[in-house]
Formats: sequence, structure tokens, C-alpha cells
Amino acid sequence: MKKEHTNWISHVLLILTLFHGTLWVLNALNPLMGFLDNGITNVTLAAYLLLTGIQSVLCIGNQCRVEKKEVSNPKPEERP
Amino acid sequence: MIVLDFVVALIGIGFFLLYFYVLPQEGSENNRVLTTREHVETKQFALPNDNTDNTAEKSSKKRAPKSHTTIEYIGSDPREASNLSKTEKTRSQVADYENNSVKLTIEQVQMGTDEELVTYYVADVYVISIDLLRTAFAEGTFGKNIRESTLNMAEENLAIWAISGDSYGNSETGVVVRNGVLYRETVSDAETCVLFCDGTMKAYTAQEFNEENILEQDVWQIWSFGPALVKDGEILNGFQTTSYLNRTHPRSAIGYIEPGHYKFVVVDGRDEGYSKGVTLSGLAQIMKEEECITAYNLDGGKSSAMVFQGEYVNQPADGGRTISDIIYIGGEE
Repeated sequence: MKKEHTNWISHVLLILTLFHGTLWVLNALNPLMGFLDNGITNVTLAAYLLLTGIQSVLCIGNQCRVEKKEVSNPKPEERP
Repeated sequence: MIVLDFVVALIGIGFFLLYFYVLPQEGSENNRVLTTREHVETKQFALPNDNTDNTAEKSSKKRAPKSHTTIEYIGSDPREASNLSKTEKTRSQVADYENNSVKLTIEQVQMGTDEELVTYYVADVYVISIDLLRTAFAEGTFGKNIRESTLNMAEENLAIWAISGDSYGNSETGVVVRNGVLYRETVSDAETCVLFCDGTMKAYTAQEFNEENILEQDVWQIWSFGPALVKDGEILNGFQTTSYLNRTHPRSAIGYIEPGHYKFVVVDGRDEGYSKGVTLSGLAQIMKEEECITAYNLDGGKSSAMVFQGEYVNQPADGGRTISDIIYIGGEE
């Protein structure tokens, strides 16, 4: 996957983190309002989990690719 | 770019709160009638004579149950309760009403001095039939974020007397039964108060509340707000609340003494020199002193309001606010 994809996913994740963080604080103050227990937050939480999963897979994939590249093309000072 | 993310998150929260807390959403019309007024009218209670002794029986103290929910239990404050019980109180009758089926007395009680002054109103209500103790929705409609002032709802329903309810419309969960009709079945983590057709009232924790079992019985009203304050005539050791909600605030509560006899209390607050408000421990102590066997907290803060014959009895904080529902006694039909 291209770098731009991981970039926009990071932004969406940051937005969702701020969104859920705020609702978490509101819910801690007044749990009876059900800020974290409703249809909208269930959907946004599902999206958050999905995107976190995708982002993690992409990051691990990228890391593996970088490591493979480093093994096949070692830096000049590391060559035997 | 990160600044833009913050802006987008803020806009998202704004839209969420607009939808969640402001935009009216009518509820489902698939309501189930649990009890009819005709059925309820067959069960009658007697109004008191002037020399009636209303002393209620008391039994052992209940322990605060442990919660499995996200709502914590906060221990009641025996020192505050003790202080309140020792404080001298001045009682004065502000209104009364009596007809063949209802007897109602409203008293103003003041305790403390200067910035510690607390003012509250006690409505002592007798009804000969539980169907006289009614509830009404804002704009006559069940739904979320549909709100009206206590005064307007009382006028629209020709109420002699009314008090703010449990603001069921602020949440999507919690069982709602009003005047024998089931409007919402979703159980919440909150404690539940049930007024049965035989005139008895009980408060249940989320663990104790067996929805199927209770809805099979003759139920007249169910409120989902709480917490319960008094059970079996004794103040509970802990209240299901948060430390933020347990601060000194205006409060309102419903209390059960015996079938057909109830007490409703509205405590004014946030007005130094007139009334500072009370914590839940303070409210529980008031309800115990009013000889309630069961007492249950209703929506407080700016929502707390009591209306008698078209006028506010209390002084709602900051002029009050619009709410979802009221409990009221209607005029003669």
C-alpha cells in the first residue's frame, strides 16, 4: 500500500482518538447520559478498531519490507 | 495538518452533541399497555384523617451492592447526615389542596444559616387511587431530546401539582413505563424505581432488576435515573453515582411511605444565602427524616422544579431548564 494511505489513516485515527477521549471524559462525569453507549459511538468505535488494525498491519508490513531491503542491500560499511 | 485534525475532531464532537443532546427524536410507537386506568381504579386507598399517625415501620439496614457496571458506588457520608439531622429546621406550610380523591400539603423547610442555608420543599401527597399519580412527557410525546419546562407540562396536563421527573429523554437506555404503558425496554446500568398498581414502590439495582419478572406484575410507573437513597426506611451505605454528581447540587426525589401516601422533595441550590443544595447523603437524610420507606433520586440541578396551581413553588437554579417529563396530580375530571 502507498504511503499516502497510511498517512490519511493516521489522521482519521487521531481524530477518532480525540473524539472518543472527549466522550470518555464526559461519560466519566455523568455515566447516566450514556455518551459511550449509543449507536453513533458504537459505529465510530468499530471504525476506530478497524482502522487501527489496518494501520498496524501496514506498519508491520512496511517494517518487514525495510528489514528485507536492508538484508538484501546492506549499507556499504556493513559489507563483509 | 495536526491542527486540522483537532478542528475536525471538534466539529465531529459538536455534531455528535447536537444529534445526541439537542435534535428531537420521536420514539417508537410500538408501546405495550401493561395496565389500564380502569384496572388501577379498582384498587383504592383511604385518605388520612387529621389525626392519622403515619409512622412507618423500619427494618434492618441494607448494604450497598457491588456494581458490575461502569457507574461506581460512592459511600454515603454519615457525618453530613448527622450534621443535617442535628441542624434546627424551620417548617412553614406554603400550600395545601384537598378533594375527594387527593390530599396534598406543601411545606417549605429551611435549615442552617448564612452561606450554609438549605431550603427545600416537601409535598406530602395522599391519593385514593394510584392512577391519580400520573406522569407526562414533554409535548405529550415519548422520544429523545423532546423537552419542555415543568411549568408548561403542568399547564398542558391541567396539573394541580407537578414535579420534574427522571429526564428519561437524555439517554437511550433505561426502562420507561408511564401510566401503565411500556415505552422503552432497554435495561440500563442505572438503578430503577418501580411504582406498582397496588401503591407500593421499590427501587432495584441493575443486578436486582429482572425486567421480565417485573413487567409481568401490575406496574404503573418505572423511572430509570436514581440512585436509590433509602430502602426499608434506612439510608443506603453507598449511592450509585460519581463524585462529580455527588457534589452539593439542587436535588429532587420521590419517597414512598405507604400505598397511596408519597412524599416528593425538591431542594433548591447554587444560590448562596438562600440555599446551597445538598449531596446525595444530605438528600437521603432528608428523605429518611420525612419517614420514607423507599426514596429515589430524580433529575436534579437546574431540572429540579415543583409547580403548584400554575406557579413554581421552589426557585429552580438559574431559572430552571426544559426537561423530558414530569410527575403530576391532575385536576378533577
